[in-house]
Amino acid sequence: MDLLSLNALLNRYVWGPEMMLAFLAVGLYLTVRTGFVQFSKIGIIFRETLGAIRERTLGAGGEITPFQATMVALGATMGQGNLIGVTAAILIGGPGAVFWMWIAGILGMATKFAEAVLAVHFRQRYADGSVSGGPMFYLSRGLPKGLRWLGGLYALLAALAAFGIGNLTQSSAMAGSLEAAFGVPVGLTGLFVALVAAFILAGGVRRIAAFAQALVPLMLLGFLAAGAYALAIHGAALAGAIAAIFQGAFGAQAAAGGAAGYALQQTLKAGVGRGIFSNEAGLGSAAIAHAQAQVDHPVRQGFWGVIEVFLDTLVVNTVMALIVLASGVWQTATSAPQAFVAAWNFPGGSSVAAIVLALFVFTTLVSWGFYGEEAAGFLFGDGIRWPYRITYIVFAFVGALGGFELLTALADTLNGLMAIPNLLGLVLLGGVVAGLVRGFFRGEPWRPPR
Amino acid sequence: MLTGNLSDLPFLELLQTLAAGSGGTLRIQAPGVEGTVGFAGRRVVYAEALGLSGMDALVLLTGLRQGRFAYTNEPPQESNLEVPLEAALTDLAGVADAWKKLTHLPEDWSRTLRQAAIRRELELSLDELGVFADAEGKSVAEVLAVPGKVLERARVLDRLFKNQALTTLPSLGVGPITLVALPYYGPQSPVAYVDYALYQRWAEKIGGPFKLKVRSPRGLEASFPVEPREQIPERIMLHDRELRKLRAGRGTKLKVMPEVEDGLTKP
Repeated sequence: MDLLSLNALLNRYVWGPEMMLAFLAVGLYLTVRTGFVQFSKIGIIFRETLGAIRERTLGAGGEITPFQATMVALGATMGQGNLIGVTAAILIGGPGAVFWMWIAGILGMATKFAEAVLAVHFRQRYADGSVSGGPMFYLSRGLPKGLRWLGGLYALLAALAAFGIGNLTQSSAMAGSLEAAFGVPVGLTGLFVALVAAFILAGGVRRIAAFAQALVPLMLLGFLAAGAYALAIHGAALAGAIAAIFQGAFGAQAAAGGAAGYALQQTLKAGVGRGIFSNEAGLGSAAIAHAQAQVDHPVRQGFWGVIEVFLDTLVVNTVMALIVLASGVWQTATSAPQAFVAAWNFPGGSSVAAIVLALFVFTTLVSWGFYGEEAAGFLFGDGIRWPYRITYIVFAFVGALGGFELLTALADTLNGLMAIPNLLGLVLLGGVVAGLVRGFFRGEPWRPPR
Repeated sequence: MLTGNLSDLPFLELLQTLAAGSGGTLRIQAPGVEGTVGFAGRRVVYAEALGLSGMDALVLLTGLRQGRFAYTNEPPQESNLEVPLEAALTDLAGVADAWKKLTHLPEDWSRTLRQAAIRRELELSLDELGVFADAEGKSVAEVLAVPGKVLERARVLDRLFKNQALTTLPSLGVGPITLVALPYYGPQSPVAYVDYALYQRWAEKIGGPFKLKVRSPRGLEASFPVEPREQIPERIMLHDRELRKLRAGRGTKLKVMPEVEDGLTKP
């Protein structure tokens, strides 16, 4: 078996239904262990996060504020998957896929909550006041001795996967989108992306956070405004689109075609897949950003983890899905990129779509640069940071030129593999999360492990 | 050098005593007030107290009923006044009479003002209302030290004390600060938590048990026992329900002031 075949096999497994089930099972397990935190504490979660947005510049005991950490994480999670990925899910699974995406997203909230909690709890604090954290730290510091190597494995996978999911894929998508919409040469886009990313990454986590804090909320609001406009244009079809989501959720649509069982399976698979993978809950990547937050208690950062999934999956993905459904393009388009472009087919729509896509993928590229660097730093120490940054920036440039399908495919598999040690760690550390949640809601102070 | 206490030799009489001298500098250290008066021959050439200068400073110093003073022959280095001593004495004699009538003003001007819990209807003039609103958490001396209005403020304060609209607490040497609210949850608890470093600073300054008075932007107030906690700089942690009672929430900026009840501690 050659490398390509092996990769294809592994890829099918790590992004396949078995892993999806594992994601859902872990999400359900953590939902139970945390006392259904995403439901029972929903009021507190909103009050502590979006309700306290006025204090976004305040924090304590970390590198960046909780809000900034969330914006870095959100910058990474919001990418092509929220736009073209959602479109593809509807094309494959029909409108009902959106319902299952919501269900998976709701379970993913508990997963992301646990990741953020563990990231802060097990983070490493250095003498200069800086911190590092993420799955590699909670796996290596929190698991029993015999399993601590999982932290190193995770770091290796993340450091390598960053070049694919975070870099080549994003840079290529941005170049393609800007070339199609505005005729910008891909080389020019690559150069621009590389230079700006170099400037941001060179400033370390504080500059990355400042960038994310400024751009991600703007990007989010810009998308929602454009989305509201698009939905207003298709206003007459909106009620029908919403109804189709619920009707399609249990295969009603497919039943008409006479292949109910198969269609339901497709709907579930497409929807759950989007609900899991678009917000990265379970992959552990966002925990690297959450670990940097200045908070008095890990549970408070966990709340931001819930909000991250809420914004990514329940807000952005839903708006995108409604645009695709209300515009009707999902019934006629033959491919997801084609449907995505067609969904924005109104005056100025294609330009807006290109800009939104470009911004989404660029923030992903920057945040993943940080994730990869942190993972590489965990493995090889701080000396690796600059070589890693420079390599990452070179990849950002060449990625725009295209032609790296093999590398991208390999990195995609590595990205999927990241979930295995992380999900295992989340299950084994579920008790720690539960203990921290209990302590927080008893008003007890946080005692970090030694 | 001549030293003494204003409780034995009031400021006006002190000036009369010094009128015979050829010049020098008088330094006064009273609770909440430090002042300097410079003489050149039989002229007053310099007066400064609590940021006030010239006649304003002399008017303020005339009202002191306690405080140490020290007079030296050292000539004043600066000048912000040019008044013959006799003229100053004449003017200040009227001022001293006015101060004597203000019997409700506390002698210790370092004491911290507190708005009293008023349980009856009280009619306040605009001036009184202005001072009443401004006084909370400040020392008596700070409220008095307004250029051109020292006596006027003193009269208003005196009336507010007379009407029991204001009370005072011993000075803790720490003014109100703004902290950002952070809720905690769990069994109802009346405790407020502040960052360990801030708590230590207050504890060292106050030297005894203290509580925290918290005031929300909507003007609602409550007092809490206080304890230190790690990792909450610039924050005050209050129980979620207490925060709601103050109509505040996470991120609300609260005015926080340590306080002790009279007789509880050495200020």
